[in-house]
Amino acid sequence: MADLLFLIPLIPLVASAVVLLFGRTVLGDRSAILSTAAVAVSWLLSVVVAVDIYRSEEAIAQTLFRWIPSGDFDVRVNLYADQLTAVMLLVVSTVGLLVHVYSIGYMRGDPGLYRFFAYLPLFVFSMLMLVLADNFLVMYVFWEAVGLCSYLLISYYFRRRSANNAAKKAFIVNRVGDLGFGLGIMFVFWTFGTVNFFGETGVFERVGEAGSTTITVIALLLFLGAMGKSAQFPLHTWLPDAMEGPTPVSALIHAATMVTAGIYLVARAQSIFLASETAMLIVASIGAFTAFMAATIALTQNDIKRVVAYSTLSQLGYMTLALGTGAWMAAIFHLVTHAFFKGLLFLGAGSVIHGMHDQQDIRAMGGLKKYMPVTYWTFLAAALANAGIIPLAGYWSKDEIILGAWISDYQPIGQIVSIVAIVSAFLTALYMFRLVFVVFHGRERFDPAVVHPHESPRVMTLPLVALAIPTVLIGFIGAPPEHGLYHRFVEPVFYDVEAEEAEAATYVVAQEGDPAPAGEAATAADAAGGDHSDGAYLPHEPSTAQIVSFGVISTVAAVGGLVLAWLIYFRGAISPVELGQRFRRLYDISYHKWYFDELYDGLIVRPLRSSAIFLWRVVDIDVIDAMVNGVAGGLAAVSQRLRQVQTGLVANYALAIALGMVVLVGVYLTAFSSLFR
Amino acid sequence: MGLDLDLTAPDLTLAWPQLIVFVMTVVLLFADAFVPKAQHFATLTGISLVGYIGAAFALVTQSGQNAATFDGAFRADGLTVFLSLIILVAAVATVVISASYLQNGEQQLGSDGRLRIANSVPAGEFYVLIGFSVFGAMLVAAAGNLIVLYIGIELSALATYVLTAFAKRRLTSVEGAMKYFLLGLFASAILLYGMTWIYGVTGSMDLDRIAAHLAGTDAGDGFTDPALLLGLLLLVVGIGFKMAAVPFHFWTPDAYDGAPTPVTAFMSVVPKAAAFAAAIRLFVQALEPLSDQWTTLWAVLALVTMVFGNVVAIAQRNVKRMLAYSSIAHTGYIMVGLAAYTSGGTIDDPSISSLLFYILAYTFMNIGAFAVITYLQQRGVGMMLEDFNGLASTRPLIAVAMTLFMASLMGVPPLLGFYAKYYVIVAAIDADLLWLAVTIVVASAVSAFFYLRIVAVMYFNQPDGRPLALPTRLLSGGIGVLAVATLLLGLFSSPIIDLADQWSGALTVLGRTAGQ
Repeated sequence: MADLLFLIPLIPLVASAVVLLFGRTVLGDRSAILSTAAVAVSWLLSVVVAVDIYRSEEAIAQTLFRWIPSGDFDVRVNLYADQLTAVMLLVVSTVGLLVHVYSIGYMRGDPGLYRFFAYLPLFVFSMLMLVLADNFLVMYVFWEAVGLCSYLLISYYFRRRSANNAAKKAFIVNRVGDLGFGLGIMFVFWTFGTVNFFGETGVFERVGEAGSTTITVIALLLFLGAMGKSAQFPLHTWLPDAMEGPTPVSALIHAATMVTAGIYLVARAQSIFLASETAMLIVASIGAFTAFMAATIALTQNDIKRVVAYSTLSQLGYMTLALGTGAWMAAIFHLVTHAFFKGLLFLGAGSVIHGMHDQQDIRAMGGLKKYMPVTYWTFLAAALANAGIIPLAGYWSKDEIILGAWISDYQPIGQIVSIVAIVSAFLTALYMFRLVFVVFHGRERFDPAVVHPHESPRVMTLPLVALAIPTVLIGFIGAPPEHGLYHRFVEPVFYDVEAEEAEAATYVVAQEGDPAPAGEAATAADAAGGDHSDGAYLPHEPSTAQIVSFGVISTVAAVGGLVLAWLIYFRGAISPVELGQRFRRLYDISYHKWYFDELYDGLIVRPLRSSAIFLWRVVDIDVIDAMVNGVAGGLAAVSQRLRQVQTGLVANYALAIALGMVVLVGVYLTAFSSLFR
Repeated sequence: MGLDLDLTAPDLTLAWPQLIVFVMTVVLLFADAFVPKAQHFATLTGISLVGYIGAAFALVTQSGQNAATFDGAFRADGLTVFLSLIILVAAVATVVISASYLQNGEQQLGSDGRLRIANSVPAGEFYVLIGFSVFGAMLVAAAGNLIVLYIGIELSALATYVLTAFAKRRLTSVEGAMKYFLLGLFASAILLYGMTWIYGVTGSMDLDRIAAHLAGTDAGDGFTDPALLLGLLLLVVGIGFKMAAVPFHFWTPDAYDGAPTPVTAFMSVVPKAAAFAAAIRLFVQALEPLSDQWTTLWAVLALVTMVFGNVVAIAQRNVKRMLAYSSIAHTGYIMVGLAAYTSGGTIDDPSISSLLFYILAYTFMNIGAFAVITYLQQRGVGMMLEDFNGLASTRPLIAVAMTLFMASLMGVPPLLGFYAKYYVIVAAIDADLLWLAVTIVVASAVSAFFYLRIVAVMYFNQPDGRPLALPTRLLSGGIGVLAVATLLLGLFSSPIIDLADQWSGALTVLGRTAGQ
């Protein structure tokens, strides 16, 4: 199986190249089928690989080639798939495949179809390579590659100015994060002399060799990269704007996969983060703040895709806060469940937009349930899952995050973020069901003479149904909490099983009342687990009482939000307009997205712009351009002169050769021979 | 040193690849005369391709060998294999890109707006001459003594002179050939004169024995025997001419411009590869003890060549002339590999392997560039910059391929040309020639101007309604393969450079052990 690993990313790449070269001329609409088929093969292989890893419980590695052999800096392109990678492979290829199928319908008739179906598999390739990378540099290359695909696809409707601006914004904001990631990698190489992840000489095994300040700096720089890609505060502003891209793109790239690359990075580099409590504190705080802030903004937005986008931000915040409190498995679990239900939400939103003739404003919708039943029921399932209603997917993972934060080793921050997460869960249910009730129920607020809402074609509803199944059921791989199939599968990546057994042995021995061997066993445990003295790498076992009570608390919060939404937007018992008037300040802050865009505009964009204009008009044109043009002009003049040496007369050429020879012989015989000594 | 004749029979199995090419050429001569007209062209093309590819397979079976026969005059070592493979790749590429040229001849746009055939080319003689030139170049790569080396160079060059004049009704073709021939004779005389001096001082024609003799004569005062130094300098001039190093490059623009374009593609690679093969054999193998002298010399010549080639290329509007100067510039880059040789080279010394890799890279991208011109010239256009106007909209794939070749010649990562330059720069830095490494980078920056100008013309100008070049399958396929190679070989360059490392290392180590 290991020999076939490279096919998983390669096939979408080939499809992308073929479509890019021949899509416009030869393939036409068949591009869509080709790309989808390629991703389907990739998906099949990913399933095979995942099953293989599940059976053998061992990572698969494949060496491809030496990329940069340059002294000590020896970078190879290897593929590495352990349980974490397997989970990511499944998520990326499954959602990728369904989005491809959906796009066949959604993009039908678009003149740039082939471009779309060239970029989309290119993205799948890059994302698969990102999760398969076994060193920081290869990961960074594909980190940038997914960013590029995201840029290309956001600006897919390149005639629309707002799409171009959104694409540029995404690219530029990500630059800040990527700069951090790049610096982090340089720091890693500087500190450890390698960029490889695994093995005896790899970075992760040798985290203990670095000083605590160095590790904190590395962790924070890596996290800066993760913040950019996973749209965490304060680098979150690009994600809502990125909704300018076609909706399938939003579903695949800006909800399910690319934006989780940051989460994946932190989870992958967990041993670096574990070594720095400061870094963990910052990760948890930023995650919690993002979760809360984005949830409040989502309450008042009127664009259906923006609401879902802010919901994505908020859920990414959940994942980040889980990482920051050491609840690694919960974070990745939420990543998985979120990929399905958020992908479904976006595709459902796309179906609504499609059926409403490209209308995105929810104030012009309402009562759509009877027009698009499939979209309604699948959207409802996704909304329930997102709101964390038992027993849908989101409940299990979100509950695990809240509980994991509460009982984590990082206190008091753990309990603070846990409470923030519960409050956000309430808000999540509120905004999700505001959306459901306003869009699908109530009065029809569109003009029936102009707009004829209709259900989307089979090729679009089929992926909705296909995604609804995991949205409802996938949570059960994590049930019972902390001991599900998922946990047993992923555990070896995050927790040193041997150390855990050693710990268990210590416990047993201590029970028997013999302190001396207990000490030895503890040392053994420490040796096996590295330098973490407090055992932060071990999962905390929540008691049954905790599991039940937190299940109740988060259910109450979610149901509370749901009921409130029902009261306001379905029953009309409370007037939303009046509420808005009553809490004018809060409403404005939420509606204007906490004024972040305005703040950045005033603090960064405008000063940068005016200094750029200065540099351009004065420094660039008058100084640098003048210099460069001078050099170029000089070179051209010299070139014209030298050109005339080529007279075309053989005698001149022979003379030049002879003269050259005489000069050489003269200089050398005088300087280096014993002739004139 | 007495007359030590080796009376054992020569081991002809070592010379299989060279013999295959030779026999193929002779068969071509007969086939040209006897094959009926209907199958004439296809048969000859087929024989050529089969011959070269067969020789390449024979070479591959020889890799890893390190043997000599004919009393050391013929060597079958790693260097032979690597260089001969490059030469054969160039030969195959030439046959592929010249096929349609040979069928249709050179066409010109008449004053009445119609195309007419200006020069038809006899395919048989063309292939035979290419065959002899390839055979000669392979002989240089396998040479173990001065005589074989010289015969190889002359054989290769004489065939190329005739090829240059192949468009015999076009005056520039004949003129370029004449200049190339006269100056070539001049340079050959100098080269031969240098060889006689070396023979006179060392008393041997055999490269290893020359090295052995020289190793024992160093007086230790830092000064060299003037007779020896004179011989060395004459060799540098002679070889420098064959390489097209400044100031011995004057034949290049005229000959490149005048020759039929497929011939230009051929002569920009094969004689140059032969010249570098000769340089490695002569300097690294035979005159290794004098490496302190010749490395400085090559370094200075490399600097002058790079700067001159790139600067003058700026002023050219004729794309073939531009590529002629560009090939001079690339000679400069390749020479850096020679200049970076450190005395007593070891397997770790990256200089010679970087040189070998550069020639390989240069083969693909340069023949590719000329292939695109051939493609355009099919229809009487294609020599001047204006002929590339708007190619991206009329022939988009060809424009993409040309862009790849130009970017690769410029050294844009991750293309083949970038890696070639990278290895040469690393070798220069390893040899403490930082100034030379910096010059390569600056010269490459200058070269961006004329390479990118073609790209700009293709993409930003409007097509001006000249007759479109007709796609021909073999040629388009050849361009495609060369483009893909330019794109991919760089990324997967480390196995190739490892091979080059082993083989050039084997050469120097063998040279020294034989010398002791």
